Amino acid sequence: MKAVAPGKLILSGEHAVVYGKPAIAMAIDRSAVFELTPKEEQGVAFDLPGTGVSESHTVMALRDLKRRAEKKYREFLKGDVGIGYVLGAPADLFRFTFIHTMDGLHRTLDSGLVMKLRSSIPVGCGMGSSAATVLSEIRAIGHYFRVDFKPDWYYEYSLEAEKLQHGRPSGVDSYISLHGGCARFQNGVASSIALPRTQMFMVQTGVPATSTGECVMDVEKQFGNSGIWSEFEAVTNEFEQAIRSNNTQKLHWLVRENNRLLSAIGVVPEKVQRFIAEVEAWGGSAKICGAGSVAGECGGVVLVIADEMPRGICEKYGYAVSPVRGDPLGTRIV
Amino acid sequence: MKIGIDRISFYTSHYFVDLKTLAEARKVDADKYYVGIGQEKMGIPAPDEDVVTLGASAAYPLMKEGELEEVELLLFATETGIDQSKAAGVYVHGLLELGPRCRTVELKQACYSGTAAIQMALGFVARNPAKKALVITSDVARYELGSPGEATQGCGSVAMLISADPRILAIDPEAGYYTEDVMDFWRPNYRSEALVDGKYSTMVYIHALIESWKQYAEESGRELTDFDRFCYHIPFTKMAEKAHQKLCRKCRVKTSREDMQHLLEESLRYSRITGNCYSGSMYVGLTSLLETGEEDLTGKRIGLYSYGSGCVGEFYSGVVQPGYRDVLFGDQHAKMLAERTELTYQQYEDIFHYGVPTDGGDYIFPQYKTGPFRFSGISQHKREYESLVDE
Repeated sequence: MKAVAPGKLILSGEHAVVYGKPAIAMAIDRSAVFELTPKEEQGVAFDLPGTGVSESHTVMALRDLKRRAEKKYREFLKGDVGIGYVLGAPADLFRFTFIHTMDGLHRTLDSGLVMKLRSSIPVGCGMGSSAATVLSEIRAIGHYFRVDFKPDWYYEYSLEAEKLQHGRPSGVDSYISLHGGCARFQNGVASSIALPRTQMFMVQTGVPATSTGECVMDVEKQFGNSGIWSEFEAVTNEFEQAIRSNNTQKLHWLVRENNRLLSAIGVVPEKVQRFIAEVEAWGGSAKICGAGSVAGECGGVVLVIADEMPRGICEKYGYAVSPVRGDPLGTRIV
Repeated sequence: MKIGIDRISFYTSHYFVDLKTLAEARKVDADKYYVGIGQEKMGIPAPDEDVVTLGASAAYPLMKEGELEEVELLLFATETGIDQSKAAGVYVHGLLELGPRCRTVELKQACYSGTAAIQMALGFVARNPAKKALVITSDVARYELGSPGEATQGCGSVAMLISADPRILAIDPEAGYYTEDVMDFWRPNYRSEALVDGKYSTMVYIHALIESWKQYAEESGRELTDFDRFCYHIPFTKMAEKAHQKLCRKCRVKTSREDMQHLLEESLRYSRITGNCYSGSMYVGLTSLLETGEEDLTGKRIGLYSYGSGCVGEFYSGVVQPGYRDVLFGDQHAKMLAERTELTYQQYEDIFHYGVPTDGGDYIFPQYKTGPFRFSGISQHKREYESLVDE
């Protein structure tokens, strides 16, 4: 029993989406895979990357974890604690998701289970890793218990878990991971568009020193009432048209414009700006994907569109680079 | 000595598009497809599926039952080339864990090559009665978005074990064939979609049928009324009906609508919901006939017409063997067809454009729903395949 859910990249409009402007996101060919295997001993064990199989948890222990996490989340909503306090350990997200889904399905465990997660989505870089892992877990559980797959239902469940990780998730990550392909988002409404057909590469500049929440707050202080969001909106609207008409030349120009705006709001670290300038001089176009960073020299993932991989420039900066393509199908049982 | 099809197994992709969805996107009446060409759904391969995985998946049930142990000839018929030099069948040979003592080759002549493979396999078994040949037909039918051929896309594969004393169909020695250099359908190396002159192709299909039939009739002395069922090459199901009507007219055999239904309908059921499978098309029809027909066909003679644009046509026949129902995979195929996932129009279009990367880079493909084998990526210009059998 195995379910796969893709990660995502924001192609245009990150940050601007907070101000009611559109954003475009794309599911990518990096994915989280949850495999569910029955075992003889009672309880649920988690086999997570780099940790091996954990001890089994009883359903009662998992319910207790859920209660504590929900209590902490209420404290977060009141402003008493930060979101990082809600889930004690990264694995708690999967434990919460498991018991929340089981309770929602009104299912009981007749035998033990091993829940194995493997993922090719970099963590902490705005690539929707947590949404993808949560969705692959819910999809695997749903299939194991022979529940009819209803996309809206899976979406709601994944958002419940995402809240504990991200505080107030926009739903973009869950939507795109669930449905796959590419979509435009504005004010919580998604509309599907074609996947871009342009050659793309993904460059890892390192995990940002500041979290998405910190970035958003910092930008809000300085640009909350700025007119720059209308400029983002215009770029994103044109981006959508360029994808629809498969206009690679225009996409190049729009990625550069996008980078200029992101740099202007201070989320592109200086080293990353220098890297992007070199990519542009070489003939490609590049921008950060996700929140970026307001401190340090790492900006998370940089998207490069170019006819070939910018291998030489990446080597110079010590960045890993690989081709990236869209995922047309979203969360699925395989 | 009887020689023929000992086992037959069919496979198609897990994903499909309903032609109602396509009709809506193209702003035409769905009946243009449902009634006009007699097609309802088209199979769309997952991004990690190709003719190798389709073909190996078709043959997997035979592997599982230990039927491939005496195979010393593997003929892989396809027009969906994945390599200019290496035969796709060699990858399949590895996935199916066939013995090294095996002659493997790929055959190409548009939709006809599966029949060429069967005729060659018959010759091999005639000379080596204790040995078996595995014929695999495997194709992905693709046309440009919005083109007239678009609704006739599809994909699928049929694996057939050819042996002496076959348990399913003993193939008659007579055959009629016809070759003519025409340009009704072709795909240059630089294109990923075929070029087709649909109306011309229909005319040539029928002309080649009449000419093939003439030779077959001369050699066998049989008449059209000597057949209990017919299987035609099925680019779309209406083509088979049209072809049979023309043949009956040529032979001055009167056929009612009911007669046509009786002679053809069961062979068209799978094709209507999988779409064109090119080299496997007629054999998908034969599988459909054997597995979905209510009447016991034991001892019945089946007329088989295979056509490949460009063009080669062949008419041959076979007699259904006693106990054939016991060795079919009908239940598995019904389950596979019932459990497919429907795609939205956007998903279909995205998959259509997805393709296999051609920039020479290394890629690891994420996993989609496939059969027991998948196309897992490209490394150093080599296609890499993965068996999911042990999972």
